[in-house]
Amino acid sequence: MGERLRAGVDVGGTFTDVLVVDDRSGAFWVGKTLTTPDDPSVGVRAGLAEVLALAESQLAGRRPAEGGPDERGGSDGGTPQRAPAGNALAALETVIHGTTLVTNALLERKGDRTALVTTRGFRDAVEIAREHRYDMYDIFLDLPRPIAPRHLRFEVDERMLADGTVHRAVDGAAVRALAGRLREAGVAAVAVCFLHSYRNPAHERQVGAILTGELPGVRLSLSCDVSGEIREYERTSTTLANVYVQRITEQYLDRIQEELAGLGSPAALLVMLSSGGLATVETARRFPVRLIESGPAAGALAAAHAGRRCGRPDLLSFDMGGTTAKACIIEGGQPLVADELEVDRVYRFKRGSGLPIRAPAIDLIEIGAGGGSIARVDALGLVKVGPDSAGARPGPACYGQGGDAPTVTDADLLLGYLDAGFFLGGRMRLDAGAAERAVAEGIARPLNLGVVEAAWAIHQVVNEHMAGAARMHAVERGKDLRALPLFAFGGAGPVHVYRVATILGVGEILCPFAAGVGSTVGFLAAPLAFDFVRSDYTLLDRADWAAVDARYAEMEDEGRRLLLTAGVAPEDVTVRRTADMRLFGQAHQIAVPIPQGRLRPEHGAVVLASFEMVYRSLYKRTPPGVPIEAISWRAVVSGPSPALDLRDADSPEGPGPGWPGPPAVAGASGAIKGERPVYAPETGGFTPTPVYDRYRLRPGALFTGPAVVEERESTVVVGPGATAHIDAFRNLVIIRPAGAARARGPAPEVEDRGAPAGSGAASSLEP
Amino acid sequence: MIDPLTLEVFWSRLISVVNEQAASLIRSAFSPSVAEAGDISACAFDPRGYLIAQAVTGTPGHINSMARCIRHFLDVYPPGELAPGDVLITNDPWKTSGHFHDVTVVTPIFRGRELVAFFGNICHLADIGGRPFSADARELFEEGLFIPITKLFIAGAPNEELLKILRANVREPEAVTGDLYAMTAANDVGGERLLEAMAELGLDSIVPLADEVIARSERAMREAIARVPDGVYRNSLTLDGYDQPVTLAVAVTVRGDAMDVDYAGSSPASSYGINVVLNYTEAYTTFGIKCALAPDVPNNEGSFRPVTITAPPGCILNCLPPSPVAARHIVGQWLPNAVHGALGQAVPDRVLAEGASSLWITQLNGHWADSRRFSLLFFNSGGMGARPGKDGLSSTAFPSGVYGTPAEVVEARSPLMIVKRELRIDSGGPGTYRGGLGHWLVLQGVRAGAPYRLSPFFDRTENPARGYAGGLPGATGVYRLERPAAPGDPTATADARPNPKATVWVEPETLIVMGLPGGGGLGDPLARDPAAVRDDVRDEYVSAERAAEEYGVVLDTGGEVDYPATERRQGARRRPAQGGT
Repeated sequence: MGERLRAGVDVGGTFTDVLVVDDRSGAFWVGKTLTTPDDPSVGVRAGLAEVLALAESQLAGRRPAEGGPDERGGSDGGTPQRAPAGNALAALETVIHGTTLVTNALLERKGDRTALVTTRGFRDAVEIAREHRYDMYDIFLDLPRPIAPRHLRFEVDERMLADGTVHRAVDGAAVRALAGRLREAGVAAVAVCFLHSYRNPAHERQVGAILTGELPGVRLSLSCDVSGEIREYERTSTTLANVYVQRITEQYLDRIQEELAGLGSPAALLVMLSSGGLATVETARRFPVRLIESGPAAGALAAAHAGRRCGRPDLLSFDMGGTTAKACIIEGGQPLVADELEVDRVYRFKRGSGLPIRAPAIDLIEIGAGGGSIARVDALGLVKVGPDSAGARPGPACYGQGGDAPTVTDADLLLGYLDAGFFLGGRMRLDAGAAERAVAEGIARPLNLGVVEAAWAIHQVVNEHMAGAARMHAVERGKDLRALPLFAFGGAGPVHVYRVATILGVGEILCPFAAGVGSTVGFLAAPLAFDFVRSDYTLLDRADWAAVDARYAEMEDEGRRLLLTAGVAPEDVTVRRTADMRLFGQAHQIAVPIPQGRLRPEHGAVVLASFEMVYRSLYKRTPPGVPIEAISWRAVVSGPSPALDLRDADSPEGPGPGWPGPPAVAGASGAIKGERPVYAPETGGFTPTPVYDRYRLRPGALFTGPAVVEERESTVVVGPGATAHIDAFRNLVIIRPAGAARARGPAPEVEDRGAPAGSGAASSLEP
Repeated sequence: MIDPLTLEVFWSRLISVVNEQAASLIRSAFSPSVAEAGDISACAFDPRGYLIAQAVTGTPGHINSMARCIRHFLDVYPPGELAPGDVLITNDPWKTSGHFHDVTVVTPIFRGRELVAFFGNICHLADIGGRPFSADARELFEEGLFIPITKLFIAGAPNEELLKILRANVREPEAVTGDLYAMTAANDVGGERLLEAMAELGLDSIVPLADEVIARSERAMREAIARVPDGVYRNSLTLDGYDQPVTLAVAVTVRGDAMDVDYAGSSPASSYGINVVLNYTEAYTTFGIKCALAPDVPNNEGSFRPVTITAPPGCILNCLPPSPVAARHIVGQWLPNAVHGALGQAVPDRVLAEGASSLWITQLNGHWADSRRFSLLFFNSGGMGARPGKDGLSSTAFPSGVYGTPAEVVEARSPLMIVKRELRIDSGGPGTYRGGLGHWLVLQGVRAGAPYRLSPFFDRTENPARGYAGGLPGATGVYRLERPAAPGDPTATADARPNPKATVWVEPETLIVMGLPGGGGLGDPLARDPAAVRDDVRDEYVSAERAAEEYGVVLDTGGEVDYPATERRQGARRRPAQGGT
């Protein structure tokens, strides 16, 4: 048997990352090419071609000499002949793609001229919105601009009531007349959103059919298809956004498929959804709005995947980059999924300042805290960091590109966390003098502090900010972060994670190896999956279970059909049902599991018990006598999760071109490449601290903090007294001294091993 | 001496703690005004009772109420008489937040046996007994159950005697009890987090840090006030009132880094439930000042100190017991406009024109056709006033920070159908910058079985939002009940114009027509960019007639600006208007 290759392709702002994995052996290859903004498919093709060529040469090269000790057990050992050219290309079965195209099109308002068709009397629902200011004190704020301006919003004299009965029927002739007006208005896309279509879509379907006939070539989205949920503003906003970007999404996906065909690849193209599931191109073309968060979703999936592998199914993924930090709770090996997100925020990180999109999305919190975040002194004479960022240009002062505002990266450099000579693996020299001047001018002088104190203040304030945001995120979801190990990645994540964990009271920290390929791993770890929802306010004790059952049958049949079309075997399909429920009169709903199979009235008691169990786990007690209300019924229909098992670290030939440095060494002390003064408040200032080379740390290596561990993309800072080791999957695992008792899972009992105390002490867990 | 780094961390942490406290309450509360409006607040106090941090939530009405309430609690229960596990409660309008529905729960936080802080929150309960929420009461006693300052929990055990009385007096005992538990739990969350932070930072007391935060906030507030030229700035407004117009008169005196706001000259208390206690007057006054001068300075003891707010006892802004107070927001929410009108004389680029001011609140009670009971409360907003350099926001709450309720939710929760929810053309006051538009909201009880009860809380049906600096007023509000024309019944279309604050019974077929007021304009309308007027006409925010009349902008048949005709028209308009502003 030959290889079975899959590729993950992430088109980022600067780089297009490609990861190709052989599912039979676990071997993988990575590549990075420059993104080609005018036509990203060109970069996709170039990146794929490069990595496939690499795979080709290595597969060909190692076939005769196959047989590592613990891997690739006989995958192709019996075919010692040279692989024919193009073997890797032919073996490529799927290409999984994530893109920021949809987000960017919405941010830059680059979609089609779009009209909205509503129920009579409601063309302004999308502008009146929630009648809310998202900032209490800023009287000068702006509200998000609806995608369809008022003169492109039209009404149809129809009416459905909340129970789905027809109050006023659609007049076909009037709709045909409307089609004429739409044609005259020169619109290329039309969203149809009628009241209560989540309950009875008949009118939307009827009007949709007429408009499709009358307006050939015009893209059309019905709200009942795009977002079958109650609340007309959010549903309308979602439907408008969907149809607005539909044409450019279609063109984009077509181009990628053309390039794949041009490459001679038979691979099927799949697309990453915001929810962390994969979808076929057909689905992506119909519902582009579900692709908005595909990049960040992949990051969280990669964290979840890494957690599953190393026995940490529950964790908090913490991704801190140049401009933002993102956190996501992973539970049971899966990221939490939210039902709504916002795009095009007027205030970049302020909830309520963007267009709401009702579509399942990985439940991330994102705040304006990154390496480039700018620090200043506020009205109270206290340090404030972000959300504005120095970006890549001019960047932090220490980049020496003309930036003079003090940033988080400048502070990190002054505290010794970063090495001026080894930033990005030495590709960029940092200017410590410039960092010092910026921090002195911007913070130290106005506050009458020393430069180091000022740098520490910046570092701590941004950490407090991130920890506070993560904790709010958790509180709003009824979770306790103290029980969750932190999984840190992104350029600045490993630099800050130790202090963030200290603030959160978290005992254990994981920093994955080679975080640079993180997102693309997420693409390859995701299953094909489709989400469905139907809204119907009903009290649980009055629920019409036959009707609920019919809704589930409808959603799940559609999901199965889509999966079978995509080549999933019927026996591999799984369905997960939940319902949004709450105590009658409450503001917030909770997701309650719903039994599988045919639903009957006797299931009422089962659902009631599930509700009470979930509710009590969140709020401790259920107030007696309050009726329970169901709001929406949800189903996720999924194919199998791929058994992704990358054999990265110790493979004899290494994982491809992303593999720098000398071979790993067994103990930790051999991986020390130097020493520098690093700031730690526990030791009252700077302490000489060993610097470890991440690439030379092998599984089992054990050492104690303070320590700094450098790899190309990032630096891990380990505080004094903490214990760190490399696990079997090459994660760097840090146990905080006070938190050691709280750490869970199969962490090694480091204390029992009698690890030598003091800085830089190193040993190995290996016998 | 305060370690500046500890202060940084403590302050960041405290903000995060009160936000968590608020989030915990919002998540688990039952009251619909929390659900849709975030009508709560959450605060931390030092052991002396100084407010040190407050979460930013949906309602400015709680700003100073929280700060003041703690003194009253401590008068009744001095710190020495409090034990771990005690939780205090009251809804005394004069001691906290101005009406019975707003209940305050305060929890002393102990570290071992030492009192180290208080956490408090206010939540608008689903029900408090008495009349359904309305402005109709003539005496406080009609408005529900009065809970004097007492203990909700005694050393960790619920005060069952109090809960018995409470449950017997409210329409939704489960939801009300649930809210009180949620409020208690939210304070516990805050207290627990604070104790963790104290342990982590090695603090025995938060008092020195509290003093520092308070001192810095006071300094920042004083600096903001000092930037306003000294002087006495006066303003006066008239609102519809319940049965007669109400005058609000304000004099803002700026002297160096201190400010006095006095409401002498305002109308006496009303005999209906629209009266405002001084706490609530202070809250909306503070909010107005902060928006204009110091949006970034946090609310705490320090930021309150430089400002003195007074109103003659017995006037509508400092009413005395037993004046009814349930609908105090109608008057209170005008105060930011009152303050801005005065401050604008000193800092014209920091204030906005008058807007719709108070929320239009609708309370409905009745039965479905199948005789189930329904009760629904929702909020709507007219236009905001125009802002220096920007148009006013249409149909957006200000100064309140609440949300409107989706039509689909109103219809799922009640037998009413919303016939129309549409921006009101020409309702925004003309100006160089146009006032925000109000909207039409038309409802009909299509699935109601019998007449149902409507308690409106509407104002500005007679007194429009005034323009500012040469801008013109926004449209007044409209409220009427219409019986749709029925064949063969010539009297059927006769509509009624009931009192916009009086409870009425409405027939199922009757249309409730609400036209929410628009915001005032800012600056001379003739100076508005003709292209902006053209766009407004294209989008039907402004009619072509009004464009010509008020803005002097003439459009051709293609909808483009006819510049020669516009110049002629504006020239003709300018001459008689000389000196008119």
